[in-house]
Amino acid sequence: MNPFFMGSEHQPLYALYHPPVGRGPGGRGAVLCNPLGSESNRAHRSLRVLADALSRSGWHVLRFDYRGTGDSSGEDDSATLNGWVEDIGVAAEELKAIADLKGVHLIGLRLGAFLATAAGLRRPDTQGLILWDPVDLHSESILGAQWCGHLDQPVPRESGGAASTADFEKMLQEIHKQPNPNAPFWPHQALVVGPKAIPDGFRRLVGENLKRVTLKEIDEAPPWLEESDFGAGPVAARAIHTISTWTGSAP
Amino acid sequence: MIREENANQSFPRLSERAIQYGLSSNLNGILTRPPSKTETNQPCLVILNAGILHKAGPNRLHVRLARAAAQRGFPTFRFDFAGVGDSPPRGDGRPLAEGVLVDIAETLDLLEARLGASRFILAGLCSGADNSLRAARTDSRVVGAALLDPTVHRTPRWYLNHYLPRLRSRERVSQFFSLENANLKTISKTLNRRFREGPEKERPELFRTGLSDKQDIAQHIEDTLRRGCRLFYGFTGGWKEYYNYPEQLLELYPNLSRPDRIHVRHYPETSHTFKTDGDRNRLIKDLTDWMELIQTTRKVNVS
Repeated sequence: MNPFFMGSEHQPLYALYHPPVGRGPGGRGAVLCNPLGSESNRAHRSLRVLADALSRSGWHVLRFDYRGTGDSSGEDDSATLNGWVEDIGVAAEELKAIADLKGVHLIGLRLGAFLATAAGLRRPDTQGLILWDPVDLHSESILGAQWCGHLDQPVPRESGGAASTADFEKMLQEIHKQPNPNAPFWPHQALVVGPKAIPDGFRRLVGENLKRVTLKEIDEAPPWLEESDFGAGPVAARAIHTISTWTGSAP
Repeated sequence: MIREENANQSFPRLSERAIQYGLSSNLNGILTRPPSKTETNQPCLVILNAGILHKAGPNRLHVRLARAAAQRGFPTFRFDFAGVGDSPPRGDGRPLAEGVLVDIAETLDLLEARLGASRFILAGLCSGADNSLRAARTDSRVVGAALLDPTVHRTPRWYLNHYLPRLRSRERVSQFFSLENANLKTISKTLNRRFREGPEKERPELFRTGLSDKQDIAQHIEDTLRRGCRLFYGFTGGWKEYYNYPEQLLELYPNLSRPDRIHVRHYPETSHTFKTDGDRNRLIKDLTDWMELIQTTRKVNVS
């Protein structure tokens, strides 16, 4: 695993590249898209374990922190949803350049699943989408377990240790109101891991492509939804196994 | 092995650099350097993991502290212990408590070589505080340690503060003496056990990460102070089950030879993980103020 900063000089993003260390078909890469706030802390270990598992299967993997989060540059209030979607694009380009790839898979956890979808729909080089325990934009916490309001309620300025902005709220509202049935790009493969059903917010976002999405329910308590405000969370072993198995057949 | 990647401007006038180093594991850390013109012979701040949380810290506390300290002229390094966050597990088979001290020593070696730094301040929350004290006790390069919510024991006054308000409430008293009260059952069980087995040694219940015995901690503090190191203690409201008034630490350890080298701050309204901007900013200001005063402070400062 190699740590580095990527992106522009004014907005460097902290990233970790996991080169392939095991046998595999080669030529495959995945960008992991974090959740936010306290969920991000609790998910960190699981995402690292997933990255290691994929690299042992011959994948090139890039983990990174969005602007204003984790070890990347910027303050909490500099973050916007659009900015984070752009950051996924920066990460995808970086991984393609490092590993000489034509395209990448995007693997997003919680709100990262939504961001990965939003980024993937903009990019023709998205070969696969894996949406891991995607946040239900209608009824769930966005920034952490403390906020369980609905989108018609204001997002608190601080929640679960992360700050939100007016821009952030505005974009959440727009996502809620504007379905995207005609996504310009849709990857060859898409997997939703975790929930019993695909959340409504994603149904709207994915539109007619829904029939091309595989759903794998995981009977496992998500570590990122622990009630405790401290701790890095246990590893979500079943979900990681499911993703690793599924990606084992990825082109 | 030392590996550095992509020096970048990550904050106006600051630079941050990802560094991979270490003999027993590929430790990963980030060095935040002050603006070049303001960099002086200040001690280097090294921030340790809180539990198994990665180096950004709870609610990015470590990132904010690193950047704020660098703005005030202190080079700052945050890293992950082997097996924590972005650092892979160690390969030398050392037990956790020993491995942590090796990781700290290797980190100081790196910064000594890389920056020419000879003086260091360690900072950590929870287990990070205990690990800071353990390293500060023996490593002569450490001139200060900031201990946030470390392992601490209760005093008689803690019990008074804790239970007296409850006794003043008639409703709570009647609840307490109700037949279904779980507290009475617990007291009854404890008394029975003590009569049978003798007095039970009090230990903190949570986060036993190397320091738990009261006398052992006292010895660590005493040894650290005697060799000239200064200590900043920060206790939050999230730690009120163990610490509930500002003077508790010095009442707990009344025989320290140099209490004037201890600076205690109590944040009763603050959560253990410094959840709000206000909480974080208050701590960071107090801590960086203390770092600037570290060489001149002579009085006990309790507030």
